[in-house]
Amino acid sequence: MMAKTFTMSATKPSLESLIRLLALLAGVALLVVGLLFPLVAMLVKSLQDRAGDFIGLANFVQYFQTPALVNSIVNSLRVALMTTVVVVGLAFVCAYGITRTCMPGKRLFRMLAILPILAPSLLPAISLVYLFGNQGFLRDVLAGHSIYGPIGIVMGMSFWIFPHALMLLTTALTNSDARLYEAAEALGTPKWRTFLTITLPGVRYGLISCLFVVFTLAITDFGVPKIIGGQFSVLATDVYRQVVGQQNFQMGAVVSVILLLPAVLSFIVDRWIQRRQVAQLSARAVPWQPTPSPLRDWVFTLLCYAVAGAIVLVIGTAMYASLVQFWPYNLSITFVHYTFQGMADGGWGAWFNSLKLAFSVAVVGTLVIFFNAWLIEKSEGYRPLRQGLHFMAMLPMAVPGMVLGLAYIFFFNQAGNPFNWLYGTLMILVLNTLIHFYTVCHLTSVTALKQLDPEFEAVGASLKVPFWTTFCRVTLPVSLPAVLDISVYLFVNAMTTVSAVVFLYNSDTRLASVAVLHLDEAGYFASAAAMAVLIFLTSLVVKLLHTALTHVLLNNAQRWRMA
Amino acid sequence: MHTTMTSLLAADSPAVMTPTTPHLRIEAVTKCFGTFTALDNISLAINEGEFVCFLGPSGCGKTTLLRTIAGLTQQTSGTLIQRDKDISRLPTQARDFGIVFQSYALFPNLTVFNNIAYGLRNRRDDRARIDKRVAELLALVNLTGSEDKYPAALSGGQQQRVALARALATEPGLLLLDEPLSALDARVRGHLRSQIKALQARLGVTTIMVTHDQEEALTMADRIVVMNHGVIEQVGTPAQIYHQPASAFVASFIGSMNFLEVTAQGNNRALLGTTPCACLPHTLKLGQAAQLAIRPEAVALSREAGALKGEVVGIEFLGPFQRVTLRLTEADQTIIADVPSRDSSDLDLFVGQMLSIHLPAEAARLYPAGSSQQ
Amino acid sequence: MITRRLFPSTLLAGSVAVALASTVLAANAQATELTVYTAVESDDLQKYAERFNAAHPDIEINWVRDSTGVITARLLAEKDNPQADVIWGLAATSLLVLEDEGMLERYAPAGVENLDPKFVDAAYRDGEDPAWVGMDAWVAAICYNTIEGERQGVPMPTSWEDLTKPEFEGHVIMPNPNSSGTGYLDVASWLQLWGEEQGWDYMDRLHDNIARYTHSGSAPCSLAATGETVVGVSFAFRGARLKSQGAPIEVVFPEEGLGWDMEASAMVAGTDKQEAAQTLLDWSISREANELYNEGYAVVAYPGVAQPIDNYPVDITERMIDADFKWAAVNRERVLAEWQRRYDGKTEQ
Repeated sequence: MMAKTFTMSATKPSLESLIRLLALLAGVALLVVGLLFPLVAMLVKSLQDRAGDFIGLANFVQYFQTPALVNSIVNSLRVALMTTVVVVGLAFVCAYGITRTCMPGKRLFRMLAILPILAPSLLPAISLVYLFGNQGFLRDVLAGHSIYGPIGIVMGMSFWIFPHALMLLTTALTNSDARLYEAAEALGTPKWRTFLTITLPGVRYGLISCLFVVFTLAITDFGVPKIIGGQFSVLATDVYRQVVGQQNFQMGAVVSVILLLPAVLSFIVDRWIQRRQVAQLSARAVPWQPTPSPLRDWVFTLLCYAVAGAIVLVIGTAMYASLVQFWPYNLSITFVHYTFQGMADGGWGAWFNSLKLAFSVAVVGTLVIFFNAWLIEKSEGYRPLRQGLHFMAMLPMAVPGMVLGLAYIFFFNQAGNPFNWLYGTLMILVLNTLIHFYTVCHLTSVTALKQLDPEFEAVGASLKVPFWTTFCRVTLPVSLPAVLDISVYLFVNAMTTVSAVVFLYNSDTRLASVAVLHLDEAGYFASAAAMAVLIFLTSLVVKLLHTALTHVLLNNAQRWRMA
Repeated sequence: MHTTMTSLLAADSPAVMTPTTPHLRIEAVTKCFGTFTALDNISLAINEGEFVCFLGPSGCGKTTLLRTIAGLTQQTSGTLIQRDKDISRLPTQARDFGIVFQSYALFPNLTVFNNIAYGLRNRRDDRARIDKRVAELLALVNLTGSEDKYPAALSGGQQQRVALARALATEPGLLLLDEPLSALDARVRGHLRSQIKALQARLGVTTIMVTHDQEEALTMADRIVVMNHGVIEQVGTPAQIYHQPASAFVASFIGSMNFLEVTAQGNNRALLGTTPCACLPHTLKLGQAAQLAIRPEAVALSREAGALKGEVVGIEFLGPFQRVTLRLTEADQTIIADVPSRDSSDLDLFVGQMLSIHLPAEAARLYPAGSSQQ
Repeated sequence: MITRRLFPSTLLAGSVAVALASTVLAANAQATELTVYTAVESDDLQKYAERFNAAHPDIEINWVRDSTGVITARLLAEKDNPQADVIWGLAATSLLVLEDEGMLERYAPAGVENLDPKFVDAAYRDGEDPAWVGMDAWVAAICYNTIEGERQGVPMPTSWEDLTKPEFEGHVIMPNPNSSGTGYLDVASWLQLWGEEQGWDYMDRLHDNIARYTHSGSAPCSLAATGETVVGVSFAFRGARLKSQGAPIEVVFPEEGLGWDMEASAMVAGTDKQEAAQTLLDWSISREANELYNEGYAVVAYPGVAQPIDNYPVDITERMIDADFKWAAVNRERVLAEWQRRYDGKTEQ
């Protein structure tokens, strides 16, 4: 009798797998609505004329016949490549200093080096004008070259992309196997050969990944070229100009498609290389510990602190700029620019909107992304769904903010779209920001989940514990540091991002980062600096809270973690 | 409800199960990963209370088979029947087993107590019952007093014992051990080996252990399933596997074995070079190239004259015996003989010495040439 | 113990909070929220709302402000799904474009007959309700930084023509007509002043001296005020205000004549808040409102209101060219495309 009951249940899918399936489908639906459909709408738009009739590639033909537009492709590639070289070069040196030398003050350096992430990319651009503009106190450094243009763009981008590269390379360089170095030393290998044959191959993956990330960030960035680009146009700003300045949505879509190409290409290359990678680090690897070497250590200290100095200088300049009464003719200090007179409803409303957005994205995004990553990583079965979800989770990295923002207009503002009600609400900004920054959070989640014993779920299942219990009792608590990292990453990015949301804000939902842009556009440079600093300080406070919280959590967890 | 069902089944089993109804029947199970066939039409029956080892080199399919039994991997085709119940398509949660992994897979953020109680909690057992059961299990694995420790504070061997206790907590009908000792160092491994075996014998729980370590299999298993390339090479008791290997692969995989190139003769003879040798009956054709397999300890050396001669080219002292390597005068082949230390003085061994070699027919098996390659 | 002692006060605080919240909610529930798109200078918006709310506290204004081109673009983009209820303060040339698209709801605000007829949609003269009503004129001007001019040897210009002289090379910044209403009124006025051929010829020569084109019409003047450039082609309002804030600039009104555009208001077709929108439009042409406009603009729609203001020339009305908004609106797309074709390389993003 009992056997029969069991046999019957064998043909039915269990409740758990049904819930799992539904969760997976929900994850897929989120990315389909939040990413794929808008992108498709944008592609369609690029093939239509103003009346909405299909005209094939005519818009593209027109694009390539307009030299001013085509020029931007070359410009974009140029500044992106230059930025990549500068950033990856500097970041490698600094990451090497952190991981492979005994330079003093590592902690302080890491703290300072991370600061640019907390600021909107508009901040360095504003600072650079004060530093190197026609009235700038360092303008002679440029030897007559204008800061408005490629020099300013590369400097500004380097500033805010640097921490991203540093983090990636620090991670890559941390994963070393001391046994290889000991073997090389035992064989009498010269230092430079050890570097070429062990260090470089060891970080190969991290390095390539870093190049990819930096290049994509640089080619898609909007804030820096917007503020400091002068007459030098790039693809991201072309999208803005076509759409906002010239009301030419079709051409905006065309530029978006073109901007999408390099990002997608580098994305594909990265995927391809990653697939060829095999885990190099065996479980038995012994982490390499640097031994003091005074000359090397001091050289790296000097290099690292030169970089940190530049970072502090840029942030300090923005703060100073926000406090000066009337640059450069009246240098008395005032807080008047923090009243944001250049803003209709006062800038603090925008700041509060940004806080709401950042908080919502941090909470909702973290849970959704981490749970989806868990579904992908730790489920058996539904392989096509899981792979599809993973693929879509990787895509946002290749979709520039400008493109995503514009795509959202095309998709969500269609009359008859069932999601039309989202348009103009804070929710659409939450959705957009969540999708925009999905990939890094996804990868962080996946990395954290991969570090967990792959058999936790199997053990849970064998003990007949439902998967959500194991998720809540084990997976989530053990991954808490990564989860907190994700939430603070989302918070900070929601605070600082401007590229996607610049197309989507509404009267009730204007954001601080957009306000920086508008203040700068309207000529309220000091107020723009003030708002950028305000964003920076907000992110900084949140980051400090996060650090403190992580510290407490890790201390509490120390009992079991015993790192 | 659940609890009672499990224990009910467990209580019923001795009465219901007869030798003809094994605990687990694996019928024609095949598992393909793309074009790669990990399990090729595996059929096997595992008896109630038996300790079975899946043994084979890495990639032979033994772990895939274990995971298929656990429902962690879904077989491409074939049927699994546990105590007359078809579990082929059941999700892991609905199957009746406990599992221990090589990595222990202890939940690092939970204490030993909570790890062991993990499955019990879910059954909504009352606290007192859980306390009692955990205490029982900790006593069983000699870890009484470690309730409040976290896994990271335990040694590898202790962690594995906690994992074992956790797997046993819900009184599963089947215990699956996936290379449970591989991550441990040799001394702990030897100790834990006998502990697990004793525990299994005491509880009488049907157990399947996956290992690549032949010594582990030989010492622990009631029966060994030797696997290679996704198929079962041989199923048998440790003695059968060791003394009567069914194939050259099994012969080579378990213990040390000499393989000599010979030509098959009549049904229990072979030709080594020009020297005829006697061996166990075989079915090879006359004149077919073959391998004569004989274990080093079966090879007898003497200073007296004999048909087969060899020159000593190496002597290794291995404590209880000496391992002597000889080159046959007859053919350009080497053979290894293990000479017990107490006999070696009679031989007065030295390198360059000519000795006659005796290959006892009852220890010599003939396999087709080339079949010992893994 | 502690819990018990805390409890009443917590309860009290809680109920006060609830009471407060419900009061606020009730107040909000009564107020009608109007989404108002505008290109009015942002430093004045709060003032506009405050003055309006003094008369109509039951209507809450949600501003969406951007440059003229941007607001126009947004309105066009949202044509099928309008987000705005009212447009209050956008270039007449843009409103003409929107009217052409059928996006404006005709409405004759109470008292429209009091306005200078030049400031009301021409259709009103033909007996129809006007699609838009004017507020004030905003007038082109040049901001000149005296300190930087002296330091870099750039003389103060007096005419548009001066800006094409060699000593101005790289020292002139002007707004991009594609995004900036000021930029477009400059271009449109030059073309009207001198005719197409000569107008484009002038811009060709001017282009050689331009350091860059900015997104907004204010920015060139702000850049001149901070010494980032010597000469900023902007508009009178911004120059006058920056000067009174202490910037070392002179506001120059070129002798050839001043281009101008009208800031105007309209109701967006399809708004579901008609009544509130009408109230706002009624107020926007009131004498009181025109007095408000006059605080920043020398020329306003309500006759007899305008008082001279600091840093504006007294004779500004005479110096304004006879602008043809219809022409500017009809030719907007063509002129902008031509401009883009010729000069787009130097545009600030």
